[in-house]
Amino acid sequence: MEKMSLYMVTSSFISLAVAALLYIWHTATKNEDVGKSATIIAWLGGAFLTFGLVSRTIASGHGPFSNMYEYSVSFAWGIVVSYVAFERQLKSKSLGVLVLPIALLLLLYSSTLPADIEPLVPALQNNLLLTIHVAVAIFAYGMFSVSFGSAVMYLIQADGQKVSWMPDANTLDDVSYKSVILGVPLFALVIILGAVWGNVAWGRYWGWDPKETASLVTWLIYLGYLHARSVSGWKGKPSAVLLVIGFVATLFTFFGVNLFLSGLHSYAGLG
Amino acid sequence: MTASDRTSRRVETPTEVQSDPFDSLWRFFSSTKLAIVLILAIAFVSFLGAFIIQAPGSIANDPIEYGRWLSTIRGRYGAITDIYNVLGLFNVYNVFWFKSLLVLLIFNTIICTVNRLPALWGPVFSPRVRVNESMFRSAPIRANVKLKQRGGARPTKDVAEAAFAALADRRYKVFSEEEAGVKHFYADRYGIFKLGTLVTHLSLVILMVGAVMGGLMGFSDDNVIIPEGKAYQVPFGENFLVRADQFKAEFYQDGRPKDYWSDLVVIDGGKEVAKQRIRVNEPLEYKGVRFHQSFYGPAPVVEVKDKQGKVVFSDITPLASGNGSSNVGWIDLPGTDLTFLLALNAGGDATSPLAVQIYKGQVPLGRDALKVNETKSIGDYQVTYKALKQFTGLRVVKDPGVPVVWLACALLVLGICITLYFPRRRIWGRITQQEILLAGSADKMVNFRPEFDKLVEAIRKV
Ligand code: HEM
Repeated sequence: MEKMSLYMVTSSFISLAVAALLYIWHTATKNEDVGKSATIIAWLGGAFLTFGLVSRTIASGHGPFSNMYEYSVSFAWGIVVSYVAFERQLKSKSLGVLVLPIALLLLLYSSTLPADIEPLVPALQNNLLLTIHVAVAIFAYGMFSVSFGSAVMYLIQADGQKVSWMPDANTLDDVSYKSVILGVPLFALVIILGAVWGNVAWGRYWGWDPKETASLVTWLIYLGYLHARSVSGWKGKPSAVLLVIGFVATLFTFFGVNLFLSGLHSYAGLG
Repeated sequence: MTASDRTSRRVETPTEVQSDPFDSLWRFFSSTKLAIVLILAIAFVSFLGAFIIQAPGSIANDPIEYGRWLSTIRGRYGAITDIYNVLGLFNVYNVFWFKSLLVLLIFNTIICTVNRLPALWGPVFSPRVRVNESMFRSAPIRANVKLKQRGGARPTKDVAEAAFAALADRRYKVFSEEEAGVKHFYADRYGIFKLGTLVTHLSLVILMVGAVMGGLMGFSDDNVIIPEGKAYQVPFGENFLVRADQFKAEFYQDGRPKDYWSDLVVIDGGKEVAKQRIRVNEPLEYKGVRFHQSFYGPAPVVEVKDKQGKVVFSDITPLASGNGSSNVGWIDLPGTDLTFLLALNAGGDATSPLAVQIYKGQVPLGRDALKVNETKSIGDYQVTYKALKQFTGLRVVKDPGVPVVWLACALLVLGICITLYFPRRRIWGRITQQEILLAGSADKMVNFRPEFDKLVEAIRKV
């Protein structure tokens, strides 16, 4: 099962790489068939990744997030799923050019990490709360990745249709907003579930642990985005810039804390 | 926000007469720009706190310990250390100016919310039904339904009723007025969900109430050590004991902990009233006080006899403080000014020797190392190392604010979902003998046009 999982993840990497190339080809040539194949292969990549994670869960007996390898693959999965869900919304497929490579980079990164299945330390054992906590986080991260992709394109497109193959600014703004309004409540849930767990495990629901703090910061940035556009009228570029900053914070929450800082969550690090 | 929203609260406030400063303060706190600046500032400072090493909570109020800690950190931060220290960046989540930011945000949220109340209620419960005629000519989303004169004019009232029924079918709430034979109406869908932001912002205030309740009415001790077989008197006016009967730890082959647990017994009024095996994710709760498994360590049982062969000490001693390479504990010998220092190598077990040193103040009087069941004479005493047991380290917490915090969290998510997922749609209309004029608008991001067109179709049929 463990082997199978590795094969699946590798197959998924290949599929997603092919899909990304097809997306580029499609956006360059506007060839419909190429676009369709890109989507199908992206779905295939997502399916491989799903099987990979499922077989790893069966092999290890716990959810795929006990170390950085599993966590990264899960993040990539969240991105692919969020992306394919959004592609149906968007009339254009060009977002794939930007978003899929993020998933590819994550998979590439995961391939440099030790992929052995390790036993769990007590705090992580048979914990339903933790499983939901992380599963929801993966979706929220996926949404934030999509909003990042569309915000970057928005910044390029904001002053008139500069790049013909990209969607227009309005569509991009729409995608950003929709992914954020899915991501924000999900991520609120992540933080709250984390707090519930912290309260059970350590007797405090909030302790300014680096991971907790980074998550809160990330959430606050997206909250700033929502307020900026709905309340202060800072639409357009300023709010798109907030989304780029938000994604940097997301990446920091995901990697930085585990790799550079110590704290209760560093269990998921490399050590 | 419009100018009228901003001033609507001021209408019948008595303070208005004398207090201009109050007025400007109010205006300052009702600014939504301030909210964004505050949210982002708090985010930024929290971020700093995650980057800069934070002083452990236990030493923050102890100037000597803190000074010692500061000198260890100096090697890393160099000259910036003092600047950081003055700014409070080593304890940033407790420093007054960070707390002030949080308090400001709370004020900001409350005042913003209160300020917006009239503007929030108004459109929900008593919306403006009559709008300017020009709206029906200029709104981006509008329609004009010509009424067919089927067998003579139908009364406007009947037409209106049929139209309102069509709207109600689509879950629109209709408000109407009649004037000089013309029926004016306003209809909205999800109008009431506009109050979602109220729920969200209120939840933030409730969250703070919960946090403050924990601080004022609760307590916590991170560092409760109970050797096996011993009982701990719960402090802070609680009237019961907790005894640790046994502690056990299991390890994986690579040495990482697999499981560890303590068997705790609660003794209240001399009776055993509760018994539980606690683990990392399974605390014991009694009368609102929770006992969390936190850490553990060795606790040797040592017997000391004096020259006459009288037992002057026989008890278990937790070796709780360590410098990394060994665990250390002290015995203050009763009736003397002597201290026995016990030390066991880190990771040591019942086969490892226990180092015993006797001190009078700073002066060492003797030392030796013992195996289990061994007796040696050290200084003027016979010391027997009887057994190696364990102590369990608990975190003891009482926090009556927790349910309030969870309530706030639930309201927060609920409020956010209501606000974000149920955007309001609005339609204004005017019904005359000849036609129905319609104008619509919806919150951001609703693709209202198709929905509106369908509605118009339905109304056309009436
Ligand atoms: C961390 C604290 C806060 C949270 C969690 C929060 C949450 C929210 C959410 C989720 C929305 C809906 C956004 C949308 O419609 O896109 C919102 C709207 C709004 N927020 Fe906040 N907010 C906070 C602080 C503040 C503060 C301090 C102010 C005051 C300046 C404020 C003023 C507003 C206003 C005026 C609206 C629009 C309300 C309406 O249209 O009914 N918020 N808030």
